[in-house]
Amino acid sequence: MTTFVLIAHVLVGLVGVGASYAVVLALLKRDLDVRFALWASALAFGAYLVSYAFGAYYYDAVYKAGMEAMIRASDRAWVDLFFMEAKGRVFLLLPFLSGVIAATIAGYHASFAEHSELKRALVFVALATFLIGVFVTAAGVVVSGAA
Amino acid sequence: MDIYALLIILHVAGTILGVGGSTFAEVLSIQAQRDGKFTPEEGQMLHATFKVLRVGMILLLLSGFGLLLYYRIIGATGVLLEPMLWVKLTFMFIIVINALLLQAKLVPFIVGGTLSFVTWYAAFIVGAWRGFPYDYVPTMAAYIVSLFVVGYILHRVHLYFIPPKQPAA
Repeated sequence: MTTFVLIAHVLVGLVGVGASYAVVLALLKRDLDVRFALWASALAFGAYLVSYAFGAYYYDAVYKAGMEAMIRASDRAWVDLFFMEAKGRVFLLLPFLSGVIAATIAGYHASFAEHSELKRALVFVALATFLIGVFVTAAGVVVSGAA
Repeated sequence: MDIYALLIILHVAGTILGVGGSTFAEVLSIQAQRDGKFTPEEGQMLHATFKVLRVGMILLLLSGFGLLLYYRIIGATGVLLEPMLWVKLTFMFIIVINALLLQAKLVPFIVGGTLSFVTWYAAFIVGAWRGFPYDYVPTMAAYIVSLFVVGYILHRVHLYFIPPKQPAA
């Protein structure tokens, strides 16, 4: 059961990061494909929520149940103290940011041409979401490596 | 066929498409600019090549993370902190960010093309080199040096094959 949860956490999380990347690419295009951008941002939002739920279960059932103590007792305690602590908290930003992106595209895509600064700001939010996703993924690899 | 063999096949296929795609992107862009004009057919060929590159990137990323997950599940977690893995992850990050910069037209095509070309070959060499003996920092230093060397060579190739643009009358 826990192996399935780990696989689901990783794969669904990767779908989220991939969808965030697709959103950045879509927003950078001169002619925005609204339908694609909306679907990609909604997919990212859903994927991050589902991945977080699987991750929370795995954290409680496996990590807290013994893995954390094992890592803290080893010479890789820094992995838990920095990467796991950061990953757990920063991850929460991802569904919120991708939700904001999806809502902004849905509600304001018609005014992107008139207010280019809004689209530019959204590109930065989408890029930040993608980069946070990359950091969380890399942190996950580090934590797995220390286990 | 077991899951490990499947992941390795997908990983190799992704690398082949990426290395081949980046090579053809360079060759086709030079060929397209030789006569001083860019025809729609040449644009379509380049567009198709970029699609192949994108497929290679996706295959490599998916199979790569599949392999990481596989190592985690079988308990071979030591692999996950090896310098070679982090070198490869850094190369993939550069390839992905470079694609964004090219899409946003924030880097000139020759710079983005060179970065893509060198990084794909670097990822291929590190991946194909069994028992890669070097640490993260020296490998990245060699990569940065090779970026400048190959960039200079590609610049000379461009100068040799592509005629200078005539000023507008």
